[in-house]
Amino acid sequence: MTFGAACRRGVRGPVSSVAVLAVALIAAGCASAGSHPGSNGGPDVGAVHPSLAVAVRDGRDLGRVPDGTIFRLTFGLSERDPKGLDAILAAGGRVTPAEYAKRFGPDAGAVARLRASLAAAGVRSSWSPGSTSMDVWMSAGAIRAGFGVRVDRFVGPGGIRFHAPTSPAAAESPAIVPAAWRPLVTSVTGLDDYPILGEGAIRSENGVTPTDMIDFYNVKPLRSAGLDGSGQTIYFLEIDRFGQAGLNAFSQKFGLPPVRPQVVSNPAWGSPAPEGDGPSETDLDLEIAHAMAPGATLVVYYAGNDGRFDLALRTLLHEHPGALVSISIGACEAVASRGLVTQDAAAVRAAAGTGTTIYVSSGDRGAYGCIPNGDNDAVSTNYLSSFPEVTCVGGTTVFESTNGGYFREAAWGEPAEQWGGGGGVSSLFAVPPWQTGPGVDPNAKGRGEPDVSANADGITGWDVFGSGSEAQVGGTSAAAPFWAGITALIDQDLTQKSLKSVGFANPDLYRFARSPQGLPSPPFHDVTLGTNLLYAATPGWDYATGLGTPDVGALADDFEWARGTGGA
Amino acid sequence: MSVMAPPSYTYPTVPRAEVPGAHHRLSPLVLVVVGVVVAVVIVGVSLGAAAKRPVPQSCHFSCGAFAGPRLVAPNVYTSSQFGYSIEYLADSTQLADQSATGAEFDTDGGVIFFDGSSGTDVDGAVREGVSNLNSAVIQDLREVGPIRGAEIGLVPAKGTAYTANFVPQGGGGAFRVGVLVMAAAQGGVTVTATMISVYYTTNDARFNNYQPYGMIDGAKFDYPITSLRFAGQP
Repeated sequence: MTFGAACRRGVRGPVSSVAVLAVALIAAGCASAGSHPGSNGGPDVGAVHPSLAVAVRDGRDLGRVPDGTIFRLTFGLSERDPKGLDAILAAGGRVTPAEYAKRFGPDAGAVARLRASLAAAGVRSSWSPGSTSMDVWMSAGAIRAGFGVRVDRFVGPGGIRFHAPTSPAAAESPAIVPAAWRPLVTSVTGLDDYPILGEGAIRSENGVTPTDMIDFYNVKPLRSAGLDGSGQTIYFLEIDRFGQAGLNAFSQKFGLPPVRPQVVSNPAWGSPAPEGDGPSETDLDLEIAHAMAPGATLVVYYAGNDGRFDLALRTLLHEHPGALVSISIGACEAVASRGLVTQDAAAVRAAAGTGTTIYVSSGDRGAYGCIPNGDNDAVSTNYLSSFPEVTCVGGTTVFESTNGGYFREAAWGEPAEQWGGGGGVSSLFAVPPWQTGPGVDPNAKGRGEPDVSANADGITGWDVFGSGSEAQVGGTSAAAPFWAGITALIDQDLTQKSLKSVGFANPDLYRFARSPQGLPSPPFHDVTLGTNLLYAATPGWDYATGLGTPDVGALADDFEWARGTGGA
Repeated sequence: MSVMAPPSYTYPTVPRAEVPGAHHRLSPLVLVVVGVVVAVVIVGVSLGAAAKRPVPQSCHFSCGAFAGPRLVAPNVYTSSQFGYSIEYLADSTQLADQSATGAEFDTDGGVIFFDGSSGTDVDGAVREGVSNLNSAVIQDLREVGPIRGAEIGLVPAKGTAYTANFVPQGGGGAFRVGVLVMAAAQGGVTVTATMISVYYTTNDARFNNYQPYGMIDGAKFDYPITSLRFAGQP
């Protein structure tokens, strides 16, 4: 009797013993199966934890951190004329970094006075003009005296050790900021070192190739025109390591030139997880971007869950205005502290205002973005992808035609395993003014996600290399670097024509979807099949796939039009 | 537009035979089962698109159709009675049993049954799927909840997730399994999918199980579910 036949009444006939053997083996190793991703069990990129509040509540308090312990805190600083910046962003405009600092960045005089008062108290600080945050080194004793926040050490669920305020919710309140520092200082972060980030690479076996994706999404006209991303740089924020050997193997297999990414790291940002038993998130990101834009320079900003990834993000954005950035990490919105959201939002807005393009994966748990954080049922989008000033990239399942080209596409949603493209309504951000067009919910209570999509289903994932093996890897983690790669091609084309780069893409993407007069060609495959486990893909924009997936040739034509004669 | 020298790298098409597992995609089903229909649809769509698509005044990049590589040979089960078909992955999924109305697939993570029936009573099909479970083997059935995003062949479905104790008939200790039963109807045919998988246990390293329904290797279940085509579907 086999496992399958035994499970139901009315067995139809003889069946093999494969299942029963396999099941028996798996059953015997069930405990270890849970700690390993298996052949398609999700990323093995370190533990994923519940929210800080839950960890403090359910963890063991080991006592107060010694008063002399120095913490690197970050003060969020208020922007000036935020409505003015909103208007520029909504119109798809941008300013220079100097202009941003002068008109919209924190008041330099007020910051100088604050720093002087800190210095007088023996507190070191660091700030760069235009930056919406400031680093401050304070002792645990000074934190308790200045903010009324006690920081303790904890052992949380699963054995993770961290330090955090004994009352995380109270520590998030702006009320902890001394009155003399308000309204300049809007938030304080760095009071805990609890990890919240996860990644979304999903492993299966071998999968689609660069050629497939170039065909599916009509990248070929750009590549045939000689565009390869030369002169462009794509920046990545990562929390695990890539392997040069894997990148070499990928390049060799698919006839690409070798590429050696640059790495930027800082001990304060944390340590990326080591390579594991297959391609890492970073392997995936780099290889996909390289496949689409093989002439582009790739730069990896390494951070880690054991450090301040937010510092890495803000440093990247502040030091490279106008950059092209791909991020495939995130967390349930509920686990991101108010201070973190406030500070990152300001940095992202500043970046968008200075022409930075940021793609962030929407997450891989469909509409249920908190599953990796221990909540299987909460409907949630993800922190990092929900910032209005990033382009949130969702996921699809691609069906090939008989000639290998694009046939059709469905929203990515796997009901059995509960994977799917992230999407839904942000609980953190209001509907941005540019988010209008066919299909956009006029009664939405918050920023809708995703903005766009691309192939992400693990079933139709990419054939990539890493850690000595070849594997099929999907997830919206694959979709974000794909969009970054094709944007490098478009930016190269625009630059060659003396036009401005794509920059903050969302206002233009939604404008294209509204089919303004003169638009050369519709740039999206409108996905109208499937769900992301909750929201259905429907005509026009939807919570499962956003505006759809790109016809890159058409998109390039449209951006050329938008930056030229069709400028708003 | 600028005209540049062609790139020195040309993305050679990788012969599918050289890509282990490269047939892990959905399209082989399309190729074999509805190849003719698809071809007609594609031609029709292409012609339709060409007829409707506004010709850009300056055609730079979006200038016409293209062709890609062909696909590998597919593995397909077709219900002779109800006409629906299922693509499966031969290297990870075994067609263990089949009849005119349905099939059983075994994977290294468990089993999945497909059953066809006439009519559109999806709720009744789910109930019947549950009642068909062998209570001597599947015991202590506990409902987890409705299956979120249930669909079969991209047709909206209804279904329920359970956990249960699997009691091997040949001896050995019982262990926990996840059980999913869902059904969808199209064109007067209802297809029920019943999945049984070793439960993906909660553990400290991940704090919470990554699989809300306990499917240890759900992609192997989701693949045939996604690939299923009702009769007449493109």
